[in-house]
Amino acid sequence: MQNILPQLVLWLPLLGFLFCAASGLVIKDPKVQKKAVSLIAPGVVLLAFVFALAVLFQTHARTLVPLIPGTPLLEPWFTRYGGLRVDFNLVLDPLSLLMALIITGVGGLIHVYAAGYMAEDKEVSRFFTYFNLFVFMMLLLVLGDNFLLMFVGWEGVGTCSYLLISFWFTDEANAKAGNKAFIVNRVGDLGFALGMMAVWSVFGTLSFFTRDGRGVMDLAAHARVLDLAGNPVPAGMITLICLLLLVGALGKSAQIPLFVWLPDAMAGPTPVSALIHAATMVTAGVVMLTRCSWLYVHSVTALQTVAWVGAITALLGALMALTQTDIKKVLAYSTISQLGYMFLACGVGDFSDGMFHVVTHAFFKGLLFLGAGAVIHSMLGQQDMRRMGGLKKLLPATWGVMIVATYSIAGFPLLSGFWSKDAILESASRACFGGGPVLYLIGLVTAFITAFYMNRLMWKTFYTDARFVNGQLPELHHSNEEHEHHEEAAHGKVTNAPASMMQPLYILALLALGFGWFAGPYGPAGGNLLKNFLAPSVAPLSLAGLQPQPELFPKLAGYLISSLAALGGLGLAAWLYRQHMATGELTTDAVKDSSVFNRLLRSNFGFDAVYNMVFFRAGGMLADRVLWHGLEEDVLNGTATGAAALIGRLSLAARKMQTGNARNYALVMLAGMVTLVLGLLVRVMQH
Amino acid sequence: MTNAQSMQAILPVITLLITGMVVLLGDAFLPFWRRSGVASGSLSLLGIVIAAGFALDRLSHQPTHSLAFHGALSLGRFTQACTLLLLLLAGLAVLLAVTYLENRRLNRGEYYTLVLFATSGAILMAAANDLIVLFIAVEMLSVALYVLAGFARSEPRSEEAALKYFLLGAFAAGFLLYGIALIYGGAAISGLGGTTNLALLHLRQGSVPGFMTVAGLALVLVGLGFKAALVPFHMWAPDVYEGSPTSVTGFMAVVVKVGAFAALMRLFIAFAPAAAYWLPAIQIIAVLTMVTGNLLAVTQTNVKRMLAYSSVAHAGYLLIAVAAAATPAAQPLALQAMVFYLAAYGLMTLGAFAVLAWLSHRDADCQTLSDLRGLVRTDPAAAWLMVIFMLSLGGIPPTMGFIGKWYLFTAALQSHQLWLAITLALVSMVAVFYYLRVVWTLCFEEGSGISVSRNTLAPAGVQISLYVAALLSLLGGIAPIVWQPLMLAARSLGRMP
Repeated sequence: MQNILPQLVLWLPLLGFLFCAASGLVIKDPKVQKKAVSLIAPGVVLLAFVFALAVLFQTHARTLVPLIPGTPLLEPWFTRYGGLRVDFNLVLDPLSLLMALIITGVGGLIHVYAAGYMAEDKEVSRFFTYFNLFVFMMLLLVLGDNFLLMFVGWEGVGTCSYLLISFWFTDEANAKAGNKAFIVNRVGDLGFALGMMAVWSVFGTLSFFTRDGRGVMDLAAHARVLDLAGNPVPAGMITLICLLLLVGALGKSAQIPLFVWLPDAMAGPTPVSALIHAATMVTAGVVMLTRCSWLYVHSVTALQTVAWVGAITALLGALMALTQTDIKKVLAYSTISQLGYMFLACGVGDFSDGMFHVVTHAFFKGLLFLGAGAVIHSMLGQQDMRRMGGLKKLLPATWGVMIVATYSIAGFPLLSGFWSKDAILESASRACFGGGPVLYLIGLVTAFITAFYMNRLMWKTFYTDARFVNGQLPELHHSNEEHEHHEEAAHGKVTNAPASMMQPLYILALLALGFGWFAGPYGPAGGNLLKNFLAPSVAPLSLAGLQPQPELFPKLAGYLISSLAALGGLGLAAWLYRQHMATGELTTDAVKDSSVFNRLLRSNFGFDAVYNMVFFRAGGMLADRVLWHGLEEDVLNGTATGAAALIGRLSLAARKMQTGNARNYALVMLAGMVTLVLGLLVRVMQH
Repeated sequence: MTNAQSMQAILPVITLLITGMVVLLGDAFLPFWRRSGVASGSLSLLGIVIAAGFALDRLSHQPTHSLAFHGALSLGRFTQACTLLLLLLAGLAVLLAVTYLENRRLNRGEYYTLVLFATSGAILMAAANDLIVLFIAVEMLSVALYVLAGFARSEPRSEEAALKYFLLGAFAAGFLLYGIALIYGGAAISGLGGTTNLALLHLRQGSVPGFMTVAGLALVLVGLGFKAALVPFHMWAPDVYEGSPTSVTGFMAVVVKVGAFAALMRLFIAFAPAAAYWLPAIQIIAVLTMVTGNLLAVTQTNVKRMLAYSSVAHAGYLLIAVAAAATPAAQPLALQAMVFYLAAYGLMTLGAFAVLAWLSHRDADCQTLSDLRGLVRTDPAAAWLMVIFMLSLGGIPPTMGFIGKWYLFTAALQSHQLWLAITLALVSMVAVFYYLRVVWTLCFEEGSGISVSRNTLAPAGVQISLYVAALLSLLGGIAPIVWQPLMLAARSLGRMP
């Protein structure tokens, strides 16, 4: 019985997907179909959430220690192709359960929201088909008990992400954004695949955990790592595996240098940005790092790489968010930056606080996106903050939830983001491989910038004077359907989002407010609820004999400094924008364009330009001149045509032998017989 | 095995022979019977199903003793696998014939009798453990086929085919018999006591066989090679395939091949200890056959002729399995690969001929590429079925032809005959050209091919046959595991006394 619940969690969204995909065949009336899909698709995810909760309470009584080994579904899944044996097993441990709760919980709320958001779209069933499939794939990613299942989920969410980014594919920019996301992720996925192969060749298995303790993570959970045959695994191989897997994580979690796809991915509908490109899929890299924490703690090099990549990404992401004018792009760069924090946490070996930030980030970033979506929805598709302003009066409810989320992500004292971010900063300052103070400083500066750009977003959108009237009407809605609702509202009047869209926001706002305290160090039941809950799934640094450095300053001082950074950033933004209420701009466009720093930020530090140059121009040239015109047309095509002509001529010549006369045939047979007999006799004679 | 047990084990053949005689008598004495082929056809089908039941029953009982009739026949699991395959193909051929004969007004009851007798001959070829019995089985098959080839008595082409087949077949039978005699003599000289029984022709590993034995082996190879259409004993194939009625061609192309290769396999595995002497010959013939068959098929415009050369080429592929079986370690895989490929080849070739038969009617026999032009528009079902069979023949996934080739390929590699594997891959590329040309003609060429008319009395027969063949070919490509029982059965010759 206890095995059925987690399976239900996994299979329900798949059922939803199948229903949505087939709904057009079953239900002929498009209106009924739309209604059924908008009910069923969120329904299955919420139901899955209920089952996930049931699993939590069911297992909580027995405490989740030690790991509950995989639930065999199909055993074996692959059998022995060259000795490779992979079972379709699920692993149910605190990590996967936590992620399942987030995916189905936050995912369910966003599904409800999306039902309202997409109500005017023609292709609601297509949207929910992809959306439910995404939830299933994401669950498979976190619940799979081996690298291959994880990879299936990994590729599955990538596919859904691609499909949803370019959901409104009639607009070429959207289609291109989808392609970009997909192609950039290929690089990461190649790294993941290579890492998987390295794991297979080193350990001889792909399972994470098995009942008899012969999974990769079981094997790595010792001071000395042995492979299946009992030979010690060289430290260099572990580092190699970790770095290859890291490449996969960099792609999926949009870290430097593979972050370029995420800002463009905002082309998709806003619920997609909220669920896939903020709350769940992009955190897959962090989940994978945490799942493989047992390997990572054995390699200081890998940990160091993760930490520095994370820190630099956090800083650069925050800087790039400073100059964005598209409300969703600000949030996209902010997501990159926050993911950097999570990587930083994993890199310094504090995996559980990385996951803590994953959770709180899912709440406040999901909320921010949904709030931004409500704004965009009300502004009939307008995403440019330069055309907003003064929305506080018109959208008080949206403003209310957005302010909670903003303060939470900025690290306003005692809100969710404060607890998780501060935990990461503290661990970073004590990095076991040294360099702690620098990492801490980067994190702190990032926190300050985060507070600044988030409040900038709030001021531009809600406080400053309205800039969308006076002839600057919001452009029409993005969707491929023009609705009469838009026509009448297009007179510069802002409409409120429907209630079904607002309810999920209130729930998320509550969580963004209080979850950090609940799960953090001063929460109920002695504090550190999440950390203790996750403890069995996460490798301790001490496993490989690593020790964090002593604290730089007492805990309370740390809290104080973080609070000051957050308040400083928020306050600075408020103070600056208060002086420019009319335009909502701190300087004129001319000043902006003349500033090198500004241009650098707006061009993503040149990453896109370099990629364009190297892969697009140079790669295109190589493909066109050398591979196509040179190799393909001249060499390969020439050879093939020549060979084909030769075969044709030979065939015609050989055809002449076929005279149609039986006596000729007999003669050929006789000749063949004589040659055969003589040949064999000669061979016998030679011996 | 005692005689009673032997009789029980040979029940499939007995069933077929009795059914054949009943069909003949019914056709001679019951006038209502003669009016359509349905009665004879269904009775034959019934006989085939019962025979298959006996074979299945024997296979499921896992016979430990395989030698029957004092060693004359080997009725182990390999034989049962071949028997089942032959019965399946014969059943499909009977179904196809019901429609085709009706369409072409060739409806005469003895057709089914001859088909049943020929199938019995092929089964006995697969079972023969004594070369004399093998000779009788070959003749049993051949004589029936000579008559079948000339079954369209009013057509000169059919007559010509029958005569050519008969003359050259008699020539080949001479070699076969002479070869058997030489082997007998060779065994007598080397002190084994004159025998033609493969079980008694024990060769010690590495021993040098005598001149007579080797010459005999070569002549037997000529005789069987003629039946299997190996180069240079293949020249009859295009003429006979083209001239015979299409239903006969389909039957002949597949059933003879199964019988001949089962016999070749058994013969050369018996002589495996002396592989060093005969293996190069087999390899050369395999390469020659693969290359010649594919090369000549390229320029054919008559589909039946093209399929004849293609069947020559496939004989070359199959010979790879025989060559691989010379290495004891690769023997189970080679046997398995051969039976699987025979099944794949049988289904797709029979299927291709069945499409031609389906499209033929009283006024026109569908034969040439131009008959098939643009068929996808006038008769999509037939066209798509043909596409499936062509892709399978070309070895393109997800069809059985692909898996079959892959098995042969691995068998060649496992026996370290790299060059055979490379040749297989290269000629397969050439082969794709002429198979895809049929697909091209069907789907993309403008103009009208053969006029489609469906005013036949029994269209169901050929349709069932076609769909079963297509389904099994696809299933074999997607889930080869469905053929697992047959292949497991084929893994060893089971020469236990």
